[in-house]
This record gives sequence, C-alpha cells and structure tokens, in this order.
Amino acid sequence: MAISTALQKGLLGFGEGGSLSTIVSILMYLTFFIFILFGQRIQLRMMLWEIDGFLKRLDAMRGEARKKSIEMIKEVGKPKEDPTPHVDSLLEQFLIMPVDLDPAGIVWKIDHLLDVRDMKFKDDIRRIAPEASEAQINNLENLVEASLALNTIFRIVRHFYLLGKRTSSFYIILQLQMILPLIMQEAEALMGATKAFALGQPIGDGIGPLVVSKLMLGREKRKIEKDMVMGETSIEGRRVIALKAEGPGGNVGKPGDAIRKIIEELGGRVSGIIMVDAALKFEGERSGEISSGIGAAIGGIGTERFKIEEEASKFKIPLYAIAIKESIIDAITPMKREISESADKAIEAIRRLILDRTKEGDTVIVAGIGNTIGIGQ
Amino acid sequence: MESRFNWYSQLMVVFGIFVLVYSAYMVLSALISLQGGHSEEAYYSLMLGSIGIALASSSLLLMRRRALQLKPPPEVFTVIKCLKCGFRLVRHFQAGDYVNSEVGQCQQCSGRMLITSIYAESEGRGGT
Ligand SMILES: [Zn+2]
Repeated sequence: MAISTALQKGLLGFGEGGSLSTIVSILMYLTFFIFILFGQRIQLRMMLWEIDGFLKRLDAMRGEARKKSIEMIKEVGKPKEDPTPHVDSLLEQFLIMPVDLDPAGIVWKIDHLLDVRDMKFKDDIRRIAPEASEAQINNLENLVEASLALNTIFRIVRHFYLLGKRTSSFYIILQLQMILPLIMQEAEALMGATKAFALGQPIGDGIGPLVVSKLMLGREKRKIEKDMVMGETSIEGRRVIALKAEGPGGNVGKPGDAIRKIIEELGGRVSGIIMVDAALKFEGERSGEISSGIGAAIGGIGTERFKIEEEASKFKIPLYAIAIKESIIDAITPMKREISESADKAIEAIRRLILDRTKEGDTVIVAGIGNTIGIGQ
Repeated sequence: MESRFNWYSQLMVVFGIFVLVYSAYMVLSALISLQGGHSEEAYYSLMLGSIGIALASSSLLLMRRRALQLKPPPEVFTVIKCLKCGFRLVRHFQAGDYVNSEVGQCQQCSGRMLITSIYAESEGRGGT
C-alpha cells in the first residue's frame, strides 16, 4: 500500500488531489483540440510510418532476389566477367504494349512483342551464363523474371509512397495502405518462387504439365512448335494427343500455336480439347480440389487463349476445362503435397469426360497448361 | 538479422509482461484503498492500471500472432518409384531432380527407378 502510493507519487509527480485533477482535465482538453485540428495529419504520419516498414521489407526482398539471381548465374553459368551490371539492366527492362485505339489484330502484335521479349531475355541470359544448359537457362530466365517483378513492385510502391509524402495527400497514402497487404502477399509468393526457380523445383502452377506428363509417360514424344512436346496415348479406345511445355526447364511454351498446328495437321477432325490448368481458388476453398467447366483454361495476357478459341470455333471443336484449385501463393511456390496428389484425380476426371463426351475412335487433345519447371516428360 | 530480431522481441515480451504485472498491481491496490474510503488518486490509478493492462495484453497478443506467422519454410521431398516392383522411396530434394527422370536402379529388383513426384510439405507432418 505504502509502496504503491509512493510509486505513484514518484512516477506521476503530484502531491495533493486538487492540482492533479486540474492537470488531467487540461490535458484532456488539449488532446481533444490537438486531435480535432491535427487528427488527419497524425493519422497520415502513422500510415506513412506503416508503409515505410513495408517498403523496407520490399527493398530487402528485391535485394535478396537480385543477389540470388547473380549467385545462380555465377554458379551454373560460370561467366568470365561479372554479370552484375547485365543483371541490373535486365531488372529494369520494360515492355510497351501496342496501341489499342484500333484494337483489330492487336493479339498478333502483342504475340509478336512477347516473342521478341522472350527471345531477347533468353539470349541475354545465354550470353551472361555461357556454360548453362538449355533447361538451366530457362530456370535462370524464370528466376530473373521473378526478381524483375519484385523490383517493379518495389519501384511502384516507393513511387506512390514518396508522392504521397511529398504532396501530403491523404488519399494517395490511403489507397496505398489499403492494397499493401495484398501486394505484400504477392511479394512473399515471388520470394518463394525465386527459391523454387533457383533449384528447379516444380511449382504449383505446374500441375497441368504434371498431369499430362503422366499421360504421356513411356510413349513416343515429339517436339511441336516453340518449346512444346506432344505424345500419343489412348484412353477407353479414344486416340488422345497429350500436350505440354517442354521440361524440365522453367517454361510455359506456346500451347495456342501447338494446338492450332495439331488441329490443322488433323484437318480439324478433333472431337474435343481438354485443357488442364491450375486455377485461382477463393479463400476458404481447399488447395488441390478439382472442378470442371467449359472454355479455354489458360491464363496469361490472353494471346494463347485467343488462338485456341479462334481455332476451336473455326472447326466447331468443344473446349473443356479441368481446373485444379490453388492460391496465388501455391501457384508460384514449390508444389504442395495436396496439389501433387490431385494429379491422379485430375486424370480420372479427364477419363470420365472423354467417356461421356466422345465416341470410340475419336481424337481428343489434352493440353497441360502451366510452368513445367522441374517436370520432364 | 534473425538473432537480433529474436533478442529484440524477447525484450519486448519481458517489457510487456512487466507492464502487465505492474498495471495489475496498480488496479489491485487501488481497489483495496477504495474499500477504505474514497480517494481521487485511487480512481486515477484504477484508470491508468486498466489502460496499462489493455495496452500490454494487446501488444503481447499481437506479438504472439506475429510469432505464429513466422512458420519455417516447407521442406521439399522427392518420391522415387520402381517401375517393375513398385518399391517406393522418399528423400529430400536434391539439385538436378525432376519429375519423370530416371535415377538409378531399384534396391529390391534392380529395375528402373523413376521420380514420380516432387512436393513441398511443412515439417512436423512427416515426410512419408
Ligand atoms: Zn524394384
């Protein structure tokens, strides 16, 4: 008792009760007016402080990804000179989308630009990593792309942070603060991806190629179009043409071109195209669940989907989709066990679909869409 | 970096517990002195004590939630199967492993061994 009052007197520094209540009520009024006058400013400071913390973490992440890229290039590529300046220039690379005032034919322009970008990227990597194998070059390309994405995220967030700070604009800061948790989640996922890309481990997005690789296992394969392989098998008496990107290097290939080529080789006599792809799950759903639908299941900028839809509607070929659900983080980090184990269920779903929707002797294309890193054929 | 963070968070936990204990003591002594008679100081220490308890417990809870979020990264395993007798082997991922690559001969029947899957799993749930 005595100690407690002594402590309070010592800590708070007042003696008698009367002066204490006056001081406290003055303080109350003061804080009230401070909050009325400067409330938003204080909130702004606090938000800036929070964003500053996120920004520091993003900076550390992009630094780590850059370091990992340079290390891997040195390790597998054994360059004669230091690759650091080349990597830094790759990390600042950009792509200018074609003008869309007159959108007719824009898909082919985008497709062309993406081809050029991909080829240049690969050539640059090949030059700074001369000893790397083709699969390793693909993995290094993926790794540098992930670092580039992290670098871009950091630059954009820093831009709006500094802009908001300079103009003291509550609404710029507010918007940034609102979406930052989502941005951070994506950045964390990209960090996980750099590890998988550096080591060549399969990622969640590779479930499509994994399913198809099981179908074409032990069959004769041939290369078709850029970075794509196909193999023939049969399911319930139907001729099945299985198609995936060429592994085990990190690669998505060009399934649109490959499907068009196969359909044209067969003169359009295809009874169905089944596309197997990872799809984004909603929060609360389980990873590795399978659902099926209609349409071209393929992500990306849309050029490959456009080609497949064009070709399918030209020859009136039905398009079926089998989606394996996973989160954005699952999709680019090492493949989780439950996703890997869903491959057999996906094959069963393909078998059922073929049985229900086609007749014996028909030809069906099964395309596994996604990044085939760490998955051969 | 890692160890500094741990040192810092441990200090914060100790500080939080200290504030919690002291605030509880303040509330308790205020309640006891209130029983004796009404004193203004007792009301103030009651108020300060409860604010202290609320702040300390909320920051301790936040710290606990952050610690739970810092899960170790999952381990990656490689599953190898014999094509002839079905003998199955699970080991840690090694650089150069990829699905559908052949990796030597079976220990049981000297048949061909194939990597059938590579997956990530959090530790503690077991590798097999
Ligand atoms: Zn065996």
